[in-house]
Amino acid sequence: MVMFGVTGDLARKKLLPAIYDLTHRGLLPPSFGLVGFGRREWSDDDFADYVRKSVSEHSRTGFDESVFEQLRGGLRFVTGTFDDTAAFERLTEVVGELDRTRGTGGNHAFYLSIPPDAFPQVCGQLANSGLNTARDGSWRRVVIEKPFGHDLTSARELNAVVEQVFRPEDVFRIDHYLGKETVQNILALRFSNQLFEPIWNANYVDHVQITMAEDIGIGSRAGYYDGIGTARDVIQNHLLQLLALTAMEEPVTFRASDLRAEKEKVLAAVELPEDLSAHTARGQYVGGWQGGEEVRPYIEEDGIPADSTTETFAAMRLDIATRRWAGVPFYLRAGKRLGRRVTEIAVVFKRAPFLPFRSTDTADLGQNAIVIRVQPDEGVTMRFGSKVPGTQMEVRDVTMDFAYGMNFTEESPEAYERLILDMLLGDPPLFPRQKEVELSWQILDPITEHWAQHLDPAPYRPGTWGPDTAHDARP
Amino acid sequence: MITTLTDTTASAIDKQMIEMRETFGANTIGRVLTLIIIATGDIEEPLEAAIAASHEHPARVIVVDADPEAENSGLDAEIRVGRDAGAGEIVILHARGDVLWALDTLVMALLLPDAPIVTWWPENAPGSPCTMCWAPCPSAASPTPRPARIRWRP
Repeated sequence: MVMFGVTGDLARKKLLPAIYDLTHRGLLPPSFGLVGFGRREWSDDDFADYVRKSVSEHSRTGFDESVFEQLRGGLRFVTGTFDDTAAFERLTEVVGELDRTRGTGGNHAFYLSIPPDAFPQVCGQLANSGLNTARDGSWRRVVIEKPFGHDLTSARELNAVVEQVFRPEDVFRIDHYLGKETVQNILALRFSNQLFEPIWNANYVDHVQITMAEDIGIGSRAGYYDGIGTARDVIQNHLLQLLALTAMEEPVTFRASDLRAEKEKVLAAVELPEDLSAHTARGQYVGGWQGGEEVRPYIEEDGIPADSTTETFAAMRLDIATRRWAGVPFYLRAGKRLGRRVTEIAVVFKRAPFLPFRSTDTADLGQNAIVIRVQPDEGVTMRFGSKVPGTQMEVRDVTMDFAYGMNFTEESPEAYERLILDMLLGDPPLFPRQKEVELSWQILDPITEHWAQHLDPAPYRPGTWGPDTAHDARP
Repeated sequence: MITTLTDTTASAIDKQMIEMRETFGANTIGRVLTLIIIATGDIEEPLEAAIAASHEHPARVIVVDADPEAENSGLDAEIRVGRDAGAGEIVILHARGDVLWALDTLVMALLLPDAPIVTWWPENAPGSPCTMCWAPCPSAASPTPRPARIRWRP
């Protein structure tokens, strides 16, 4: 595997530890080799030290010298910039040397952990050096990370660049949310049980809320975040993928083509509200005290212009025009500096059509709900009414809970472990195809265009649930 | 068991409680309500009452031990579970100074999802819960809510 952007935060905190953890679990072949490509004047040993540091700080399975030694044998580093043709020639040599000495079988994966504007250059260089061309039954794969563009047009341009050099089926787009156990469990919950699917439709469901809330600010991501905002950053990919998995029909099999077909169908059926100002909301956090600490407003974060109109909170209502979901609003919201860190899908059910109780008996009865907690505290909660012990017939909400930590002592693998392994195995169900990316932008583009012209972000206090406008989004 | 966190944040307390749940199986979800006690004076007496009540209504009890006059702003916390917490679990927030200007953000991260919230002021109750922020609450100033609002989960 050749990794571009190996000195970046993502590589250091997630990718390198994931590769180590896979080695530790015995899931990578001993022949596996990793080539770092970067500007630094590093020798292979310097690179190995860097990998060792990253692994010992961030690995999930704990550092083991003998495991690291096995990995270390396949570590190489090539110094160069993306416009340096000679460096790519050296890269070709190093990869060829690994093929011969380690027995990688001529299979190469390229991980582009770099900003999208560097894609054309890197892809061009890979094509020139012939590294993208597979020979004698070996494979070439390329992994790209979000953002897959910032609107439909740019997503298509970006894809054209990559697909000029790699075949469409060899392009693996990583949406790390899809590597999470809890997200894959949506499929298990819905399609392996008899209990839920019969009521998973407009006859019984009142609405669905999909939330991805963070309690932190933008941190060091200013350069990327400003001008992009929450909707493009997480709704276009993570939240719409969660929506697709929640709302899609049952796939014929779990093969990639069948799974993607169902996701594409449901994304294509998404309808936007007519009045976008009334049914979407946009916010930006101000400064103040949040849960015991004083925090800066968004416009005073490092590297953010004081007149920025980038949103740090986004909420919207979407409808799905299918027989299963007609009339059931899907509310999506995401943001930074919100009340607590939580990602969850809540399917909220209609009230029972008739209650044979006195109205006072059921005053404390809410709507039934199934909540899939994606993170943290992974699990599923069901909420329903139950009789309060005593002589009177009083009904109150109770919850029934499934927590991963309590039911499985096996620790969940990190999303990147799963995804890197799937990519190496050539198993694509968890990777969105270009069609899904384009459908998602088609949903989001009219909203961000409307916002740019008519809707500035409303201020909200840090540690709250977004601006007031977010709560009035219902007709 | 009592866990103490000094110079902390609501987010760190929430994280700690999730960790405790995963490690010891301390049940932090099977509670039927969140009871918030906002005390400016002694907290022992209200705490005892809350523990007694928790035997009938297992609750997460959040006690805000408020010291708005303190010179140095900050937050310390105590998490009590097991036999130190009756039939519930107790979070004591020692909140000093300016921290109290955003009291809502202090308890927001600690509320039980899907459970009713009961607030108790042992001393002086404000005219409206919205003024519990010790400061003009922006949401208090907003126009009357429309009849049908999304009830976002907390």
